[in-house]
Amino acid sequence: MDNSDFRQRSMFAETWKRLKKNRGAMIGLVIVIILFLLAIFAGVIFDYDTDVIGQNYNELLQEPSWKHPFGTDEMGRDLLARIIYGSRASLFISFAAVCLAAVVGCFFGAISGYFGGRIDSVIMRITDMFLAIPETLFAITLVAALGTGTFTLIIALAISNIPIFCRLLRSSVMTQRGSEHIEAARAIGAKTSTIIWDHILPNCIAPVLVQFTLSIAVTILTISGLSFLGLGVSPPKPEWGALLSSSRSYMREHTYLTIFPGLAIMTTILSLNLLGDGLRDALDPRLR
Amino acid sequence: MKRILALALVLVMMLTLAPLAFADNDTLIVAAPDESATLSTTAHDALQTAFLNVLSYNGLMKLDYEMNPVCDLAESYDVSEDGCTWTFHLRQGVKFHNGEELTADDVVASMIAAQSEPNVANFTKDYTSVEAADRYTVVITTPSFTSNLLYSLANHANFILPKALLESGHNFNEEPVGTGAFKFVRWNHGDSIEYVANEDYYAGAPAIKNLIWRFIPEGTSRSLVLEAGEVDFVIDVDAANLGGIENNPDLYLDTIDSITLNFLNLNDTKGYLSDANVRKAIDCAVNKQAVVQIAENGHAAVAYAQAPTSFSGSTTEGCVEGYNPEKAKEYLAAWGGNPADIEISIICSNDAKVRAAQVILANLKDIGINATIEQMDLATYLDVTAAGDHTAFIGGYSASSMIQYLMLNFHSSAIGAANKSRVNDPEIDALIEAADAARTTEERNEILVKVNTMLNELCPQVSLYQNQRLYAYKTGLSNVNILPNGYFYVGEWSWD
Amino acid sequence: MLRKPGALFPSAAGRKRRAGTRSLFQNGSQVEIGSENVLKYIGKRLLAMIPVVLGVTLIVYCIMSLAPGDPARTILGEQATEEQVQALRDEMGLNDPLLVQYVRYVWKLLHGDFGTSYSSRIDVSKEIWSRFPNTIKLALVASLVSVIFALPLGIVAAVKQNTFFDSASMFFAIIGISCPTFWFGLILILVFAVHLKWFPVSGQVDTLKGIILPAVTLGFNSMAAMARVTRSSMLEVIRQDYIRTARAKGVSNRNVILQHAVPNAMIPTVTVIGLRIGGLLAGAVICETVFAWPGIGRLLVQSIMSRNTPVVLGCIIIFSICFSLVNLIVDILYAFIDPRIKSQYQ
Repeated sequence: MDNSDFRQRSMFAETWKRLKKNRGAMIGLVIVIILFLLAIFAGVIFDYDTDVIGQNYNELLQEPSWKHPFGTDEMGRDLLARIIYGSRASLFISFAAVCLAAVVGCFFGAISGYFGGRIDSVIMRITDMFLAIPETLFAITLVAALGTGTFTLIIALAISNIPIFCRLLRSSVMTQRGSEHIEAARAIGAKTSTIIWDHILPNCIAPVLVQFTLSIAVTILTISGLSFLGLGVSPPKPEWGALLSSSRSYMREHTYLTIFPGLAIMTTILSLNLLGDGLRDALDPRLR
Repeated sequence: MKRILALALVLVMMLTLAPLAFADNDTLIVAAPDESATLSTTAHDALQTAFLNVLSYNGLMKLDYEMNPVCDLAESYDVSEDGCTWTFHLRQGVKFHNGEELTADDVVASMIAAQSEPNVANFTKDYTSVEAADRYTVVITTPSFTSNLLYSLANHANFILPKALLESGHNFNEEPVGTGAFKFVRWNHGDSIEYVANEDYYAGAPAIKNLIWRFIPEGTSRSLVLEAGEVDFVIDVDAANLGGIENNPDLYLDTIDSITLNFLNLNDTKGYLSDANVRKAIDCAVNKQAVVQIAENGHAAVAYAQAPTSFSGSTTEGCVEGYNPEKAKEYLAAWGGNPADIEISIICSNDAKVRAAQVILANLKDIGINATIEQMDLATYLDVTAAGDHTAFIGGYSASSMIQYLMLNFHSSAIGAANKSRVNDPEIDALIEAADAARTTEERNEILVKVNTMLNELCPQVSLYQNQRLYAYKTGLSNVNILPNGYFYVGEWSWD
Repeated sequence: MLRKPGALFPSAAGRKRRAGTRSLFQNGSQVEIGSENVLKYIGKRLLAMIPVVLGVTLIVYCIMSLAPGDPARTILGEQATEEQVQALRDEMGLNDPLLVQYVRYVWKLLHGDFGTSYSSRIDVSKEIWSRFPNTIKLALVASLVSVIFALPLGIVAAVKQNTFFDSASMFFAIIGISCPTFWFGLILILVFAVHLKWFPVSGQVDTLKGIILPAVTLGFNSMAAMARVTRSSMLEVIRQDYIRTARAKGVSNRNVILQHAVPNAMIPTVTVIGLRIGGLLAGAVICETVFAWPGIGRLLVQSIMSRNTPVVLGCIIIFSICFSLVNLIVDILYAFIDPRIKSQYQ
């Protein structure tokens, strides 16, 4: 156990060293961290009741200015405040959904990969079925069934992400199942759960982490797609997808209204993708 | 590599072949928001489908530009002394698209078939029997005198189909055959429906020879296709999106005051909403001017009365007096409870409604009521509101007459259907029925004013505004007249 | 190198990371196959699709049945009374137990009957087939667009690894998946259709001009994955011995890349095209709405929202069959393109 801990630490250290060399990934990481800080401290910068949902009929649809750097929306609300607050909902929902999906998916993936045989076939046939339904469509169907709202949105998005993680972990586990250190652990009589938890999972973290960043990016986009179809987060609470979707009626004459939330989504997803790519490169020894 | 490129080139060339025949000056391309599920006259009650029905069918009556029923396939009609027997004399020599002549038998067969369709039950319940007296005479009996019959006969539910095809099981869902100005040619599902002019149309062959009805669901795209010149006429222009059309000299924006009343429906059987003071407090608290500005970009008239003011018999007597948060607080004081205990969740199903609801939310917050917004898809919304499980939603309703409006929105028989405030007041029921049975206009209006005043005082829901219907078209199109209910007769249009 | 078990639908990450050897069979069972066995293999895979498709119908059927909202109420509209709705429910067989309804549906399905649309009363197969070719057309042209953009980007990025060109190409490739489809589509319409007037605003099925904007919108979405895979497989290929040999023999750099490296690096890219089909079909839902494209995606969304279960099931079945077929084709192609795998057949 200590041995694997040590190995792990050195693996992380080395990955980090390699990641640091990748400029794109570092930029991505910095932006993601800034976004998180903004989301956490949004309440310090703006007051929710007055700046974010408070309407001001004297300042409808104002172009960007010093007072309102991103302009105001159709209800006179400051767009900057709404975008910064919007990051809370977008990031929270997508993180929660993907975390949930990763935990559940990895659980079944690990079982499937480790035990193989009939359990594996059953789990894999079920994931095949889920994977044969395009993810966005599946999310739409689930939201229609569960109803809209933050909680149901998280559940729906999590369910549609589970099969990916399940597949991923299964193949990772299968490659390790036969390796020597697992054989050794088994030989000294370690419990199955110990073997999976202490010896196999730590080595599967890399691909899961990569998929995690990419899934979050995809999920943010899926939420915006759902908003476009009227199944997203309920207003007046700001959420990026909803901001973008509600601004599309105004995009002809007040283009800034759709540009800024669009850029916010783009920047976030770009950073997550850069980070994910960087991680993948850093973790893949062949591409060094 | 080269082979792949060659393959790509072939594919591209295949796609370029078969280009679309493009508009000449007797072709009209219309952009409509929703694709109909069916082209039947009776299996729906959707306005967008009704537009399509009007193209290829006629009824005994039709609505003129002021929404009065006038003769269409009927040349004239008489009413018996007791008002229960109506004799319609048909226009002679009218031909269906399949070449057959219209006779009384077709009228009888169509209307009897319509009576078994639940979608249009409200438009067929006015008459009990339809009989052919001779080849060109139809006798319709009503249970009692009803002024509503003529309006119902102008509704798509009672349009006339050829009897022979009805009996042979012709698929009217997909292939309409009527007497109308345009003959159905082809339905490209998901994309468009094509029509050609009916050269034998009884009112004269239309000037528009080819009509293409395209479905463009996204509001922004619908405005942009007109600006780009890809379509000639747009139904329901997105109100937030008018600049490009208004500033374009080649385009004309037609704004028609609609008879659709948009409201914040309140479920009067839910919690504290059963108290009229609470409902009036909400009515006073809502800044309707702001709602109009933000939801419809100013293209609507603020409404206070419970029924649309475009009909005779309407009144604002008994309404709360406009936006007044202080007055709202007085109403709440009269009720005596804690406003924070009032639960309201406003169901919204489109962007304009969501915008309106956000203004209302802010207004209600000012008087201490915490409301929320709930977005739902159509099926859930219909289910929840029909069962009366909602507290509030933003909706709109349009009817062709005052009696019809009151009957469907406030009569107890419509609970579980369109009466979603669930008003159940025997006195109101009796008055609406009395107005329907009234023989003279004066008598009817007197009763209507009375029932409307009662409703205004009861304040079952909060009226918000009567919006304008926004249609836009190329300036070269002439003779375009649009009725307050949105109907239009393409057969009368022409290009300059 | 570790031998990775190839799965029917491996995750994008899993498949992209290992371009080397792969078994044709699922569950890690490596079987020696002769060329006559290929047909048997295809047959087996086709048969394996049946339970998957039936499972998909069961999942979707359950979700649709659990969803609030009543198809009968949706058909009859707001004016219908409760009695009328109940009468229609009886007529449609919606009051039978769910299991009975499902078994009835599957029974009909096995006889090739997709049922009748609740709302239009038209055969579901007819509803679908009148739109399906349009979606396929859009998806094909979109794939073409993404390949046209992704290959050069990936190749340039790999050849000029760790330079400005590398970052710039990858940045450009990522833009496509970074913005929501409807937003990207509307921006394209504003710029290229309204301001520049190069293309029509709405999609037109029959003209080249009319398909470009929707295809670009959709294609850019898949471009990133494809460019990324092309880049990494190029990087891998460039380091192989035969490339070094070619260089040593004095073949020009250009020829080394185009004639030796690219064809070999293409293999994983082909598989990604297959993997992206699901994404393309899903993206089509929104793309079709923005461009008023008469495809199956919009039909599906409308049907979900009106609880038109037969149409939803029909569309999902078609989607899952497409998805499975494309994966099968990719697996077979893969085996035949890759000389290392092909050699196993001969």
